[in-house]
Amino acid sequence: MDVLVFLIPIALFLGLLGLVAFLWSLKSDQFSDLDGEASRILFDDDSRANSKEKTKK
Amino acid sequence: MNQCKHCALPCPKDTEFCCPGCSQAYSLIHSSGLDLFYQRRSIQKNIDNPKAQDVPFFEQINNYIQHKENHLEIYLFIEGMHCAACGWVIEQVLQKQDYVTYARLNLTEKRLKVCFKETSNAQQIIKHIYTLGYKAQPYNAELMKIENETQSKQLLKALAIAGFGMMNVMLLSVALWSGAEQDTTTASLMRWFSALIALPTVAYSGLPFFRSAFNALKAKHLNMDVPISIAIILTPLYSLYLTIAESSAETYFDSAVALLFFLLIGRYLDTRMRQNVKQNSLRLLKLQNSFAKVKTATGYKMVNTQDLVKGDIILVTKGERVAADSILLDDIAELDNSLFTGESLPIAPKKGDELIGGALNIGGSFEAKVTTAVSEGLLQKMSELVNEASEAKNKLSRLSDRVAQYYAPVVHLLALITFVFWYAAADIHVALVAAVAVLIVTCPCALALSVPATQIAFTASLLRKAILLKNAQALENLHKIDAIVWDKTGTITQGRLKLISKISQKDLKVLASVAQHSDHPYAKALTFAYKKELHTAKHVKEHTGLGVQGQVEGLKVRIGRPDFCETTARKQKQLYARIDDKVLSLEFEDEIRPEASKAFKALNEYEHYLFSGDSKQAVERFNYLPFTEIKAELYPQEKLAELEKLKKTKTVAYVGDGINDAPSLANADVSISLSSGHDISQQSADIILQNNDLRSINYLLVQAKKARSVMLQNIGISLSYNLTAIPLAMAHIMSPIWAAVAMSVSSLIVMANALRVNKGA
Repeated sequence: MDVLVFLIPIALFLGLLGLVAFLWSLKSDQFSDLDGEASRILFDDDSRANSKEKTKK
Repeated sequence: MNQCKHCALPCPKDTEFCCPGCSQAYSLIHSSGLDLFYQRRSIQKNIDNPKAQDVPFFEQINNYIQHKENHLEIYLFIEGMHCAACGWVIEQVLQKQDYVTYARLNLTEKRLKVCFKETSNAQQIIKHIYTLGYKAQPYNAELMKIENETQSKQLLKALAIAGFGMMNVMLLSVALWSGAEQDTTTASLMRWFSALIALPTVAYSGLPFFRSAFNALKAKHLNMDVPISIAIILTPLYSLYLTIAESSAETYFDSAVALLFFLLIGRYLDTRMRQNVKQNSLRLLKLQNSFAKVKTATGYKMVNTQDLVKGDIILVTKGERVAADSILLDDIAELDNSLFTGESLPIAPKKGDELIGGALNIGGSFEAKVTTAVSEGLLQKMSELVNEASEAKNKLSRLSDRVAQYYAPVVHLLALITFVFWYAAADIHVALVAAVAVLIVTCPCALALSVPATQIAFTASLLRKAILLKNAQALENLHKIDAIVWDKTGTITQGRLKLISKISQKDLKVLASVAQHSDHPYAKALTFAYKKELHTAKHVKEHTGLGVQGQVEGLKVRIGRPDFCETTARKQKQLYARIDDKVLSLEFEDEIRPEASKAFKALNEYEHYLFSGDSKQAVERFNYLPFTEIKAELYPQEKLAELEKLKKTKTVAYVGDGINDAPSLANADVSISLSSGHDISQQSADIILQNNDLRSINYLLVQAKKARSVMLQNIGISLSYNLTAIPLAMAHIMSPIWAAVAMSVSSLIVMANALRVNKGA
């Protein structure tokens, strides 16, 4: 059963990673516009590509 | 140049259409016999070059710019969007501008954030949005505060952490339950890990409950959060004590964290729902009225309505609302006061008459002299009435809080008795363990869940029928309702005029052909009355405040005031028309909702009252509906007074939709508004009928009774669990594992029972 001493912390660490990812996404406002993001993904030329073009000019 | 037959854009010579697409669309519409579309639609003109005066706040836009370190920022509320592509094009167009560094549209909130370089760019940005065919308004500060969503974000964070904690502690608990306990070293290790996860989780995620409990205690009263807080603090602490003492007794880290998680779900949904409603209503409190055109020596100046002072002369153009209470300076005006008085027909004040701030100008432009500053105006007084009424209502505590008020002191007293008894009979250790056991056993999980779980199920069952329950506490009054007070305009009626004079189809066709060119409510009603294809009217000219004239099939047509139609008719009818030499009088009335009589039939066990701001004669025709009493010509304050009288003997539901109903809505035991109603009335109401179907009220009341009985059952179940467990715990005989099992089972029963509300709905 000694292996539990490692396994439990590893499991906890992995879970924590997920939690941190969620908190990060929450902090970066990814949950504030649920309708917009859902359809935004469908547009090929997203805004980032455009702003790059602009800097090139 | 030719105009495209479909889209009215200029098109190449000798062609009827600008493109094959339009041609196909036209032929489909034409072949289906729907040419009427082209007469009835309204094409926005001058869309490609919006002028400054079309944008109401154009001059003021700079006030809304937020200055950030190295750029400027503005938040705009975009109107007129249909789908994601609309948002996409706005973002893209703005981003292509050199001075825009960032543009992002939140589709849920229809809020656009733009970062740009120089102050002068702001007007440019607005122009671009208008050119695209959308409308933009600056967001006001109050709205922004709410939109920050700090509260719901924090709850979501707490929820995520509680969820993480619960899953991991459960994992360890399952291992313990399934036999790991036999090995004391492993068991002890797992308990330490559980403590390591549970304690920080409770400390962080429990904060919303601790805060509320603390506030309640500070105000010297008890709410449900007090026993909840005690339970979620004491349970893990007691478990920690057991862990340190290496006792073989059961620990409760899992139940504490799980309880916290479920309670947070309920609280999060509740906050979200409330926030959505608030946002929606606030968003509609548009800035439209925020600016008024004030006359100066050189012309007109845009002034914030809050800054208007007595004596200012304001210009009110067509389609605008009168900014403040004022006196009419021009000879004539035509106003729609329905939001305020509930009167369904437009009024025509004369020179020197008082105008109410907020009335909508449906005639031509006029000038008016401000008599009262906005802060003291009638509208303001109304909103104060609303506030007072809703505050008074909030004082009534929630059912669960009332239960807590008795429950919490009893529980704490029992724990104390146990402690004192065992301290005297045995030693301090036994006393401590027994006392804490009592507190844990009395942990009000099931009790705390019983009410919110039922409320959530109830809300969900209503949502399916497009009824939005804004204030979950309404459930506590809904089952008691024995009288329903109705508003007339917009509630029982549709708030839309319908022609009732009997005139021949031929005449009607001629009149409607001319009327279609006007936006006046009468003209719209006239056009609507004729269902088939109309003639083309020529030489149509609208005389604001008088009427409209035109030529149809060689007949000269005039519709409007009696003098405009050159008739000396004495008896005042609402509208006159003249076709060549024939004079017709036209009358309109507000159409009753088609489902109204069915709705009343279903609601026959309740008493009904009709309170209207409209004239006596306008309400008479509702005699056929089963009203106990009909009252007319009531001002908002009087409606409120009548309602309060009624409330002394009965539990009253108020159904209304106008601003004039807002004070009564806020005061009634339960208030119901329609989604077609005014935003202020929706804000004051507990329940909003999204489908505008009066029949839903019956469904609502039936469901409420069901929910109420389920809720009482739930409280009964949870209390009976606690009541049987307490004596056992006090006697120091209840084995902790059975306490835990019973605790979870009672919570599960409560949850399952709550779901019954939804069943068969």
